[in-house]
Amino acid sequence: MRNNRASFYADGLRNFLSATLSVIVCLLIFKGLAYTVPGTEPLSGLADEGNLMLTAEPSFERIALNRVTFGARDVDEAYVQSIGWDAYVQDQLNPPDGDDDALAAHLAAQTMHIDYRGEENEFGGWPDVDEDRPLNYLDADTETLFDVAVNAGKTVPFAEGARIQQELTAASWIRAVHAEYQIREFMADFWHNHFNIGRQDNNFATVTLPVYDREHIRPYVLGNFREMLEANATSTAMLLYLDNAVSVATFPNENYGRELMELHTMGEDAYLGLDNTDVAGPNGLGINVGVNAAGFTDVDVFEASIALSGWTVEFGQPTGPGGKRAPVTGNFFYSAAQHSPDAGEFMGVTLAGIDEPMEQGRAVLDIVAAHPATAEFICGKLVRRIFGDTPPAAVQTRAVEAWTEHKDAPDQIKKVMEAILLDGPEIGEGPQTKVRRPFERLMALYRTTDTVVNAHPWMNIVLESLHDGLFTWPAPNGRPDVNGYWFSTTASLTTWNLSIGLFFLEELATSFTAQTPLNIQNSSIEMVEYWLGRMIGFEPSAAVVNTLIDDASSLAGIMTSLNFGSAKNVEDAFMRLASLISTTEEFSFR
Amino acid sequence: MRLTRRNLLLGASGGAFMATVGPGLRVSMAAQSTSDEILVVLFARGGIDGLQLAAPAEDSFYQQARPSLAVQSSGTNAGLALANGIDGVDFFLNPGAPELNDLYTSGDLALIHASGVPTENRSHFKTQDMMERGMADNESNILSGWLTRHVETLTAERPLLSTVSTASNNPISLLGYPQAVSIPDVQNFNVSGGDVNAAVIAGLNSGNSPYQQVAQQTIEAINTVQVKLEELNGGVDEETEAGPAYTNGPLSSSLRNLATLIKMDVGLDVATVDQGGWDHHNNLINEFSNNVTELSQSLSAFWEDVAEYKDRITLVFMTEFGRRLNENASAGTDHGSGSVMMVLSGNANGGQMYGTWPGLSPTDLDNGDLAVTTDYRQVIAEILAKRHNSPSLDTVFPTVSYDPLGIINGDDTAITGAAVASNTTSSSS
Repeated sequence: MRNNRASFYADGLRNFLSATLSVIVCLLIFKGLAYTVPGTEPLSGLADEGNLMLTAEPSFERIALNRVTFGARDVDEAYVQSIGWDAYVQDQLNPPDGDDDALAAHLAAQTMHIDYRGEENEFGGWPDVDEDRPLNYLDADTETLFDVAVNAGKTVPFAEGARIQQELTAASWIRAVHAEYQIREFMADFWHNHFNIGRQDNNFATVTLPVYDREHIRPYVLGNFREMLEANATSTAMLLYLDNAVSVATFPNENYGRELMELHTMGEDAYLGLDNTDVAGPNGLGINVGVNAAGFTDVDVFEASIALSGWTVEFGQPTGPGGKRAPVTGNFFYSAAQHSPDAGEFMGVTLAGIDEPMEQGRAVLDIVAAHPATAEFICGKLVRRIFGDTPPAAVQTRAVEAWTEHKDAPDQIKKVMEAILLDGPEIGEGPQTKVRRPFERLMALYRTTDTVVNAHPWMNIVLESLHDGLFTWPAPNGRPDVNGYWFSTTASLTTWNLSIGLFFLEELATSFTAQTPLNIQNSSIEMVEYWLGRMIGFEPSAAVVNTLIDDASSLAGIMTSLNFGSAKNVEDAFMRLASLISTTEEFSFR
Repeated sequence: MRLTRRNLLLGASGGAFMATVGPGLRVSMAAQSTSDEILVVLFARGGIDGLQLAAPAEDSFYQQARPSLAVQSSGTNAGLALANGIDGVDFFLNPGAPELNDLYTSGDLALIHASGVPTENRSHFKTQDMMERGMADNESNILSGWLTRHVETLTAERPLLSTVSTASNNPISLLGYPQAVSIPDVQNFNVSGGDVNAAVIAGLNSGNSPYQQVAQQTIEAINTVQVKLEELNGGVDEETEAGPAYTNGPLSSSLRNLATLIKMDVGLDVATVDQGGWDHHNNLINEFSNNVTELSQSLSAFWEDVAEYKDRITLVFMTEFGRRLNENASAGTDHGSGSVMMVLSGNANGGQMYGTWPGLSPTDLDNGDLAVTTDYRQVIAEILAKRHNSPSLDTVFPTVSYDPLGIINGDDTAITGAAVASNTTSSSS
């Protein structure tokens, strides 16, 4: 099944990306010098620098919103101040099924261009295509999507496989920027990274990712973890990505069984080694059995693999004697022929007597989902995602308590979020120590500048080199969620360049000129202040303010453009101002 | 389209630029590494099957365990016989790696078999993490990367571009070392909008927070690289030059990039390179062949590219673990233990294999895996001691006693003296 890793979009688009970024860099190197003026007006208002109208500190609402959304806008801040944080959170934690109406309409209106040459071959080939096509794959079922991989190069061109990824990524950008239910989007991003699938790995898995996103992640992001875990364990994409689909009775494949415990539930700190003799648990509890065990060993990995063998997808494999085979649909099914009969003891619990289809596997999921290490591991990840590398201990404690108390509730994760967001003041208290990932920085840039995001194929590749963005992290562990990981030259440089460069896509539609109040378009200080207020919401360091005001009168600056440039020059200069604000520490942390 | 010093200054506006970019640029341009030696760490991620890379093809246990995968000593799927095996066993290099065989024969390449983390752990992430921090299981946690500890023991002042990751981010081995710079593509290492925007970004980030320091370092690194790249390319038309035979694959891309950085002479002395895709649970024959071909051709091209520097370079190749001896039902191999490390250097005692062969009989195996008989840290420690004048190996690898295998030439008397004095439990008696 795992054929031809470097196929589909991978190499071609990566080269395209490299070329694309080069073009952006080259085009823009001279962007600021595209027109020449004889001189610039001297600064008039430096004496007023101390009089910015911005508050010295961000408001409670601004801090809180920035921690659980893709960027607090001034209108969001004002809205929450009017209705109260509690009311806002309660509304956010009770979203409708599916996208809100405005978002759904925006997504439905999207098209992206696709064109490729037709081909005739022994399998039938495909016709020429040259069209602006809606994002049809977002709603496609498993069988339709699986066919794109099964018949790739036969009746479907490889470009269609790439198209699936382009649509998913474009939708992830649009949702992050435009979803009314921002906390749900924040949680979808969190759970996608927790149950990460690297799209580099396996064509048959990656073509089904729209179903994974739509049916196996999103319905559960505020739901019950045990239910989410089974949805995940029965998803075509995960079964193929971590090889459980190809597990067979005689040799159960251990890949999924291990990651289930190490990454999806109890965490790597709960891995106690090869067997359970002479090993002390990491928390000093020592080894016990069942859900009281401190963690898991290689014996448990093997037992879980046995228990879960037979959880597979229909890819034409033998299902019984006499040459019986499964169809090739990609749909989940339980194959008794692939299930190992050798069940023993999993974490001290006997599975051997359980004979009903799937029930051994379900028993494993019951044990790991309910394990205390799982509550600690996942709540720890969640509060670090929200607060940063050293979250308040009280929040972690409340989260674990809520997780445990509501472990059988259908809205378990919502209860955890209530405990984090509402049962203490921490969410709106500084300091803001969490660095925004490059993806978050871009989304916040578009949100805070009222940029309308429309689908473009570049969205699928521009963050690939940083392994940020949906499904770009190659390994099942997901991105490391610590600040230090993003403190690199390349993460900084790539993010700056995307902030500056992508604004020139027509698909990112905004008008800075129209948004900037006309009566301040003669004051560099007031214009800088206005956009700092929109994007950051408080007064940044003097170095930031002074640098921006100085720059406003430079050749590339906004005052110069307003005085001497065309309307397009003015708009470009505003875009540049916003992009440069996005490089500051004040914008880059939440 | 490149930045030059001239238009850099042209675009400078105001004092912020001079205060931030100016001094750093001078430091970076003036400084040279205190050592001429260059350490390259190539991490093969996913767990390379050492028994397919350097196969004991005449071992009956090996052949029985891998009926559909085993490398043979002759005939179909025949490997390349390696001279100077270990413990009387003959090994055969994977047939996809003839260039590695040439490097081995030339004396620049040495292989260390049955090496790895001494305590068995089959998790990719845990084992990579341990190796990059210089740990093994059941050792107290070390939070920094081993390369970080190494460079921090060298000198306080290091050139700006002394420590480079050729991946798009810094590896865990450089965790906690903010000066590490990731340069995945030296040709496109620049700010959109050029020096005007670079100067403003420098002004916006003139503070001392970790984020701002990285921003300043980024601007300085860009300026240095652009100046050096212009010097390096001055008058040379790359199109007409027949260069080394790099592939179009990702490892070649990284190594070509690294070769350019080395030839810039910017004081680079530590570089990390990654090669992914070694987790071959399925269809190993084809996938391993693709990866080993990329590895072999890329290393060979790199070595030709940096031929003038080869007596200053030591490249160490490592992976998190090997694979189970028995092949699985998907014609692949599952996570195991011992694997192969390689050392490529003009100073290597190459053309030989090192280590202790544990054997493959059922009683020799470690839970079904090739046992680890050489701790990965011994291989690195020898390189640090003999080539990099490491003043304190016990800081880099606090739990390991120095016990060199003789893989590389150099003077390690400083370490051996220090080791005896500071560590009475040394195993190298």
